[in-house]
Amino acid sequence: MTYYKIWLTALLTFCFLGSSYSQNGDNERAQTRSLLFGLGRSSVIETYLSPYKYSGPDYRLDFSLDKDSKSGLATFQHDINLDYARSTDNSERGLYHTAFLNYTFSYLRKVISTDKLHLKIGGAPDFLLGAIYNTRNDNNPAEAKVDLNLDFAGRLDYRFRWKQTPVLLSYDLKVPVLGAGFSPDYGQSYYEIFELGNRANIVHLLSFRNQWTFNNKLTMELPVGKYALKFGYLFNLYQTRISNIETSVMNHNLLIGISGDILHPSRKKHLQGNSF
Amino acid sequence: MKKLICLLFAVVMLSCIKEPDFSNTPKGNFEALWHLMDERYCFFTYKKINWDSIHNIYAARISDKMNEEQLFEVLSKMLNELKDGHVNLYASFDVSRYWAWFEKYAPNFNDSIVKNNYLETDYKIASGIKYKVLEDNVGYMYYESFSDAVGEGNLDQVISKFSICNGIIIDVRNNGGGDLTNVNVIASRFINAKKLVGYISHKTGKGHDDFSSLFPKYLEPTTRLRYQKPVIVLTNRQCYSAANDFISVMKQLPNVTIMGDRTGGGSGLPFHSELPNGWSIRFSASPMYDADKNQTEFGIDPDVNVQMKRSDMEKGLDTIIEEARKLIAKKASESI
Repeated sequence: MTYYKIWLTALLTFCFLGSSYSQNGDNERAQTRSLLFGLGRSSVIETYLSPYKYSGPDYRLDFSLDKDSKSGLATFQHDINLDYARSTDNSERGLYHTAFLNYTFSYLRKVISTDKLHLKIGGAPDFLLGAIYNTRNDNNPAEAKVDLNLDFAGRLDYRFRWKQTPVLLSYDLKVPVLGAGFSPDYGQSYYEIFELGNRANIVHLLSFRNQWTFNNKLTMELPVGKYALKFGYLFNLYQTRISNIETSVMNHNLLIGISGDILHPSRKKHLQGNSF
Repeated sequence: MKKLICLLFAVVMLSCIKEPDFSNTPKGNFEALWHLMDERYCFFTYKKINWDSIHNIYAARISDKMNEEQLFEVLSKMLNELKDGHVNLYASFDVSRYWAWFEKYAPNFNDSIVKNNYLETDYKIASGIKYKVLEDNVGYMYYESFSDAVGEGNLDQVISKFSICNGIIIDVRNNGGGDLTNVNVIASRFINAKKLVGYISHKTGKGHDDFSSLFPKYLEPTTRLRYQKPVIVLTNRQCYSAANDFISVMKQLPNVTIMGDRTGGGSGLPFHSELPNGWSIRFSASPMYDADKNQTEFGIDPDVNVQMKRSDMEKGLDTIIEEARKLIAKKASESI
């Protein structure tokens, strides 16, 4: 419990106080950091380990940093997701531990901009590192995932007032379009790959032909003091079909957290006006 | 726009990954097991097994009124048709197994004789290796399981202790296998140059003959202490899996003689999967071959076949160890 508190404190400090490049001048645009905790459900099919679906509770940490360009036309977004699920099969005799670390760096351009609504689209290099571990398999105990993709990224922001309270509703979408990823062959062991060195066919081109993944995040921000309370819903689908191995990870998360604009101390002002 | 939506819908439908449609009933579990093995087991062609006809035979014995024990018995019998010690079905109340590869043969090993008359009480232990220098200046080490991790430091101690000996006996009788990485760690102590010691392959698809090309396995000498004098490796029918691979590798090395009985085999690297009812299944998924590209699934013959004699055992002697000592003594005298 003590470790948990120290870790959380360090993370929050990093998120909201640790900016070294944010105070450069008055004409800098908004920088928003948000930290969300997600709780939900995960369902996993990983045929390298088992043909059957495993499901169970899913826990997520979502940290993002949005920084607008000086012109206000572009937004740079760093997004780090840490996800863990503990799932069982229908018989509850098998157990998976699934963990993914996902980093995306999005470059978004405004394509529609009105007083209340902004639509931004762009591209995002996307790095994913993870593993699905089956506690009772010997030579095929886990399926490792290492993917590097270029995503289509989109963001829709809609601002409105609810009983005089400014509210920001945002929808984020990321869809990997083209990339490369690691996968063993259908019946290939990690012993053959790493101990014997047969790495001939383990890196695969990823496209819509063998990968169907999309990350959706719908959030709502309400100002609370200097910062904003942020909550929302995340739906994440990760599916690949490589070398006759099928992987499907589906996550539903309810999110809650806080966000802050480092350059604009009052999040309420930001949600209301000029920097939108 | 309609076309775009249709295309998107088609992609989504194509991309759907679902569980197989096998129900958690006796029939559903039977079909799930049969299909799983049909797609992933690696020795159908080599063993000339007609898996379709086996389906017909055993499907007739399945009824949805069966209880778990009855279903387990039928599924176990079907799996035993594969004659494979790496094929097991795990339920909470039992584990199916095929052990005919050693049960039908002479044990050629007596644990009590080795403990009481060779290792005695003053042997040393380096991780999973029990070792001792015998009276005739022969180093004897017994390695019971490749699941026991052996570190380079452990082997430094053992080889250092045996450096004054005329030769080493490595006894892997009754070693049922374990971690393959330990094979190379030990074998690398008995070689001075990189050598081809075998091949591995794996399934690339669901067909019985969908295999990758053979990938060569090389053994490289360790940079640490290496042993240059005669080495005798003792075997019996219970040398299985990683122990069988160890024999396959050691047989390629100079100064090494394999002595005892034929090994049990087990050259298919096993994978795990499961059935709808949660029973776990282990099966051979990735075949390994010797340096001449021969399958070793059914065992490896020793260089010198020696069987335990009852008359020796009655005197507390292990015939195979005694023959190994004689051979080392002979080689030592020849080298003078």
